[in-house]
Amino acid sequence: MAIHKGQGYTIEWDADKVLKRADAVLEVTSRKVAFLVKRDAIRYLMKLKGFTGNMARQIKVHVSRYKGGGYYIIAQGSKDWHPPYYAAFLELGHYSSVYGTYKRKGRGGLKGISPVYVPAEPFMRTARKQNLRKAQRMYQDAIDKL
Amino acid sequence: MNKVFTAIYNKFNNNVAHGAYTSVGGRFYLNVAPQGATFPYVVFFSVADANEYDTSDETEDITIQFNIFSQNNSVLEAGQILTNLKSLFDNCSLTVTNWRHLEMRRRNTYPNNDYEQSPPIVGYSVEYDILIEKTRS
Repeated sequence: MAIHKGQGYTIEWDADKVLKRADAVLEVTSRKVAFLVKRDAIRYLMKLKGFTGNMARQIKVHVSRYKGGGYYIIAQGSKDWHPPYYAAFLELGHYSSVYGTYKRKGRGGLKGISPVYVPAEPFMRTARKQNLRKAQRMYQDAIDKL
Repeated sequence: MNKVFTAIYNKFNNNVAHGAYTSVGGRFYLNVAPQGATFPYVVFFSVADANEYDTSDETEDITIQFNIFSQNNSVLEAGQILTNLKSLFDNCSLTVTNWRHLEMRRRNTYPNNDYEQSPPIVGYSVEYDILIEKTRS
């Protein structure tokens, strides 16, 4: 809003309105990026041998409650999972005596089963990294359109 | 990618007097440890690889993870290996054939244990970002 006072001339810059609009645009973009990462995480899972879709159904996008907001993508989160729990094992690789099928653990305990190193099949971090630059471009485009 | 794996492997094996090598007895494997491998050992593998091109250069940003496993009733052994590994690879310089190595930065460290074993397996997963570049051909 421009205000004319005597010989002075003041222009009020509506920063609040602009920032509010920018926030809304970035919020929408963040949501898009989160779902993009989720989609790619599922794509990586689909390439794995023995893919059944169970894990894919347990990958969810949540709104962050932390200061600063945003979204987070979580595989087998505390409220979204059903046994067996293996997202972190798959992502990081691990050492285990129950590789293959959980039935092997069974009533006989761990006897007779030689523990093995189970290689990692990263799907969450891979999806995140592959989309980093794309996300940066999406944010840039969104700001440019303001 | 193979060149980066080779560079990491060479970095480890060229420092036989370093604590990182001696604390695991030189057992440093790519992707998977052989079944029945003696503890402790380290396995490293690639997590993600992102490329970027500009008019003159090609840059690769690679995430590498090291998994440390120790079968011991004490967590101290795995902790010591972790400390040694960090001192060898944190901000180190790698020799990657035909590439310029820009940086190697540690990002995250996670615990990776299996307490069902006897003695328990104590482990850590350490993540590094490696940045390399070369002139575009």
